[in-house]
Amino acid sequence: MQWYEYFLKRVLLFVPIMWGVSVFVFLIVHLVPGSPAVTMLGVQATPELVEEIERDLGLHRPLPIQYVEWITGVLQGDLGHSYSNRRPVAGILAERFWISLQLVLMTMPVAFMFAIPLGIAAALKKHTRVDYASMGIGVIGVSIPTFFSAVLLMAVFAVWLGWLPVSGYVSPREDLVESIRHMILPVMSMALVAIAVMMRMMRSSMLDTIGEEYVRFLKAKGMSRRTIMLGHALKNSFIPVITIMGLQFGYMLSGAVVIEEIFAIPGLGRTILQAVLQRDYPLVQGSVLLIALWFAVVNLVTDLAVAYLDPRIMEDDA
Amino acid sequence: MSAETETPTSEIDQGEAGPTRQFLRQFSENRIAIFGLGLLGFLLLLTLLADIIAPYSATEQNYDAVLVGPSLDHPMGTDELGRDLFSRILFGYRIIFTITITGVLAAFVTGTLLGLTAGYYGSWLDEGLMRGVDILMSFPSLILALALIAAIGPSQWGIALVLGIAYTPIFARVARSESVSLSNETFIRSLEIRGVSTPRILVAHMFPNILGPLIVTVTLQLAFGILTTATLSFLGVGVQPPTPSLGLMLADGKDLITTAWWMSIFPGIAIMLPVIAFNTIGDGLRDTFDPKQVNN
Amino acid sequence: MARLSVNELSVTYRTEGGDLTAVDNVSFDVLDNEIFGIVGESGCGKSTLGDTFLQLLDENGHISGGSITYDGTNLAALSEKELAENVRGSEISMIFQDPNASLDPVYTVGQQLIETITKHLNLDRSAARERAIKILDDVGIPDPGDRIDDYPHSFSGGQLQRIVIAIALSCEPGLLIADEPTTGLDVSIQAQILDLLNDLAGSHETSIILITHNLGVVAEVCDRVGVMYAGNMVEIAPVEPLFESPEHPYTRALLESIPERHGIKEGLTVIPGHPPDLRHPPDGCRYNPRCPDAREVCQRIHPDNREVPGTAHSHRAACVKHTGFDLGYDDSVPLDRGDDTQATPRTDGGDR
Repeated sequence: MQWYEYFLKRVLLFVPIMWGVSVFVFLIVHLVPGSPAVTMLGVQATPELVEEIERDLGLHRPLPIQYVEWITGVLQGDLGHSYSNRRPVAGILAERFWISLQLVLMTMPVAFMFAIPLGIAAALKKHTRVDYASMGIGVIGVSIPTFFSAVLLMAVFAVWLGWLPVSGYVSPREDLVESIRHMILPVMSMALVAIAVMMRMMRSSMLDTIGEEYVRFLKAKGMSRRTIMLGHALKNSFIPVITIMGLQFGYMLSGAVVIEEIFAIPGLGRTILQAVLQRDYPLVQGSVLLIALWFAVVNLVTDLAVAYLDPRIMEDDA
Repeated sequence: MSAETETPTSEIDQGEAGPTRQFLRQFSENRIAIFGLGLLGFLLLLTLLADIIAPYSATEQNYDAVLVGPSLDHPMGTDELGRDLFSRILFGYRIIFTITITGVLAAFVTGTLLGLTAGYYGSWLDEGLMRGVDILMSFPSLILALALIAAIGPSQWGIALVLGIAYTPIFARVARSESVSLSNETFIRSLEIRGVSTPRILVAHMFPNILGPLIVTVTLQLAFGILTTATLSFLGVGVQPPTPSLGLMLADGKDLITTAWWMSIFPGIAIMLPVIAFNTIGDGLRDTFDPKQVNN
Repeated sequence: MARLSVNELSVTYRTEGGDLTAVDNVSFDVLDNEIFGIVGESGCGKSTLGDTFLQLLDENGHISGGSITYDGTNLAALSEKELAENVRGSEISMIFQDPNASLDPVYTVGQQLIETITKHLNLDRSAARERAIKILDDVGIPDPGDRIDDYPHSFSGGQLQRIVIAIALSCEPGLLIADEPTTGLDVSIQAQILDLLNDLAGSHETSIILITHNLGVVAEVCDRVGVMYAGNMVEIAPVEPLFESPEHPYTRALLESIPERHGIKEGLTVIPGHPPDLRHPPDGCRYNPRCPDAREVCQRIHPDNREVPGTAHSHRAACVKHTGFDLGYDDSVPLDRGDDTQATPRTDGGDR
């Protein structure tokens, strides 16, 4: 199979899967016991008021109709209105998504910068202290809950040392320096797990590659160690790492929920959390859909990149 | 005069060590994994004996001992209601282990069943199931968990259910992938020809052979599951007070971190320990199953 | 004039159970334009020997004695850098058993060919590419101009081995070491590859060391053969005399065990016992515990590979039984084997 055929196939599959996702999101939110009307009204909820609100919101109609109405709106860019503050969901999401994206885009390069060299070094110096140290850090790094590392970093650098702000978000358009200062701790917290995961993968991938028979043949051909490592081993080792990087990029949206909550950053993750707590259906639906879309796109791009680098992937398609 | 002076080479002398024993021997050479196993055993023991070991109950409040640091009476200090942290952590372990193990096991059973049959039968069953898996896997698991919790409300068994649903796709994919390659093996074909019933083929012959990668997945998902459960509790959508919950304890403690550091540090470390244990065991299992064996 | 001269070469591995000498005091020459076979069971040291020429040993292995002389230089004394720059791929090439595993899956075969050519020869890219296409043609790859840009996974096993051979010969080395080059291939392909090696060696004037456990392969293409057992080279002879009148009991046993030599109703011959643990080799001749002709003297003396007198071509064997040795074999007490292996009748070297 050629790459462009693979590309087409994956892109075409994307549409029905996203449709399935939308149905799933819709169903979760709407099969909930308990009514949002009750949440909205709070103490003032009487059965009549609840019913009235439900009628207003169209919640009494059959599910398929509600779904169709919702999805047609989505395709036109209308995701409904938030129950808690009446603003259009699409608008809310646009702002918040951009903020979360900032966080993620800043974290990836940081993680990459640390993880890749450490992983390669650990592989090349296998069984030395450098290797054991990085393996140890690696295991701890993937075992530490994001909220714990965030709290610790915050405690040390913001509260105790006072070098960095404790929480909050400043837009880079307002004040670039302050913006970065506010992002440092959140980025570091998110990066920790990513670094650990990618470093371990880089190391293990590199070790696998070095042990391969073709490395032996390259040596027998007279290629220099530099050419073998940088030209051949690295390219081969990188392939699983790219897959992991792609996954991490997607997962960061999960990690963002916690980080944004702790550091009070008004991003997509925090939005979902609050929407869930407040039973704000349209907001939950919209944000989960957006995250799923984002995740699926990232996965698709990663798969295509990997297929481009390693043509064998396209042969056995799962 | 004896002619036998040489020592036979070690492979020949071993006799027929079965695959299980060989596996156990190889695994036991991985010291980090054995450490993880020991750690896990220790933690599970603590959890089982929590009733006996814990000096206080998980909910007992003592207003005379509010926010006390680690001391002889309270080895890990107390929280803002005077509750002993050590006891709360022990009981909290019980909760988190129960939820996570239940959820992951449920996912294991469901996912393996789905993946095994999908891989074996192929065609539309396979396509359909795998598209379903794709849909579920379009969500990062924490987000999926959040969405599902939004639907059913926070509760202990709710989280277990949510984990079960969220992790089923992973097991399904692994099981399916193994099942597909195994279905083509000659011995499976010969079983079919001999008229062995399909359920029997699946359960008695295919399942044991795909168990390896599945066990690795179980272990690693247990690690992930503990983190997810703790995170959900931290965010307030997990186990609800007054049930002791490690994540919630950290959430309570974080605002007081400069004055009462023990309220955050101990629960945090407590969460990490089983995760480290499961991760190291999982890594060890994965290395032992790996035919290449280069990484150790 | 010998192209390659191996002198008392020993290679030792450091293992947990002690030092293991996988190649013990081996000496032989490879002449110009000849195909020299090295044959033996697994574990006899032939692969280690093969890896030694270009210093491709594992980390825990090293040359513990002797020399390897090629073109006046002792290869054993060269540094890694010198080997990479001046010897590997350019003067001496090596190919391995599994062609699929020998090529980097993420580069085209052309890229891997051209990489070798540009490293050792002073050609620009287009000249290198032309040369690469020509070599692919020489080894029998159809449509080389197109296929040069294909990836390894789109070729069959036999074709891959041809490509590997092409890479190995691309810079006109004087010596090619082939370690089990046909073992992983279909029987029909094996013959083709062996023919290819034979032809190319002739046209490129390259000598070949062919390492194999398969006597059939040896009979097919080799000019001279060295037989290895437990780290020692126990017999060296041109191929016909080796097959027709072997001088070492192990060689005889190997030849006996070829299934084709037996009729349908006869049982297959098996060499009783197993090769020794090289960490603790037996005293005296290493084959003596399994040898039907062994006598008391064999447990004391470790014979070197000595000329058998009275043969037309050079024929060496490491067995005190032949007339090149005068150690009182005839008077020595035969060892009691306890099984009914037949001792072979004594023959004189010149009795053909």
